[in-house]
Amino acid sequence: MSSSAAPVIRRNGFTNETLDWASWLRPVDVAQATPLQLQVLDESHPQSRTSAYYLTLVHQPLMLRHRSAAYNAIMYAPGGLPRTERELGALVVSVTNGCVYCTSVHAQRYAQLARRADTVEQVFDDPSTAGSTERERAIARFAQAVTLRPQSLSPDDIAPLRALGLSDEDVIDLLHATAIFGWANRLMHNLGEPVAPGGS
Amino acid sequence: MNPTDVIDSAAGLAPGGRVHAARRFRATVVEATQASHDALLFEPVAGLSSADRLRAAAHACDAAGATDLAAHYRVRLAALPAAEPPSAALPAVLYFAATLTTDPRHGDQAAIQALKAAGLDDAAIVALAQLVAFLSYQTRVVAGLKALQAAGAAP
Repeated sequence: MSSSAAPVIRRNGFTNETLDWASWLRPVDVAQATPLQLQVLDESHPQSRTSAYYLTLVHQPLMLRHRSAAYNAIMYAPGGLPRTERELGALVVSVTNGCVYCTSVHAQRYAQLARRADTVEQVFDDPSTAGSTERERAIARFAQAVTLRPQSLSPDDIAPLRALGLSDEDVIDLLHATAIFGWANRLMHNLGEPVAPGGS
Repeated sequence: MNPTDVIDSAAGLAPGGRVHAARRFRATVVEATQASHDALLFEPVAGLSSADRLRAAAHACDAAGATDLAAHYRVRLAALPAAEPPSAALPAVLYFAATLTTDPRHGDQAAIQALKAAGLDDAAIVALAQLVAFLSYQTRVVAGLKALQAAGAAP
């Protein structure tokens, strides 16, 4: 599926190759899961019944339910900021936070949507200057600002996005897509670790 | 749905305002964000009281420099009808909350072991990690919405 013909990119400890993830906690055993846990797993992600990440988070099914509702709406809902640009924001944040697993997933998603990977190499090298167009560079800079200095965000950070035609709704879409990777990266990078495929 | 939620209050957004209305373009996100807040703090978790979660949330928001949300969590703590006293695990919980907030790059299995040693089981650790990770999202959304509000209407 995702491991199709895309050329492998490895730079700075990041990769666009498909990785597995091993939990530092004991994932829930699907065979022992409650009906609510199974329902929330199926709401969260198509492969969650075999994912160590989702099976770990489903120890708290209601917390996972609301997280997944927020995440799926932020990343996949139609309209507003194009999904490619939400994925670029997610990719920049994941590299900035050092989450190798999240980076591999969102490098693939971005490249599939954008149908090119030059920006992926740039983000792996230095997210602060990455972007193949002015619009991509502005999105990457905003994603880094949200990640690294959220309490000093100001109208000066909004102006470059508006100059490129983003509406208030588009800016909020980008804010959501970058902020929720502050959430996702912290879980993925602090409850377990990436492993080579087939390693667990 | 309430006309204002925790994010609106912390960001100073009132019904009828430009940014308050723009947020509602993503009503699902607004509702799921508030529902996450409510579940993360108030769903029962064995070994991790709501009071200790509110203490951890205020501490994490302090570490993030998010004074608006830190104040919110202290108000909610003070409003608990029967706040449980701090548990023996609270120092480890606060330490984890602050380091995960300020240093997400330092993924560390020892930090998880320290929580287990303090008496938290796997389900309680998931609840705490979800809460602290959510706060990194919530504080950023509030800060970004404040900037968008301060920018005024687009020309």
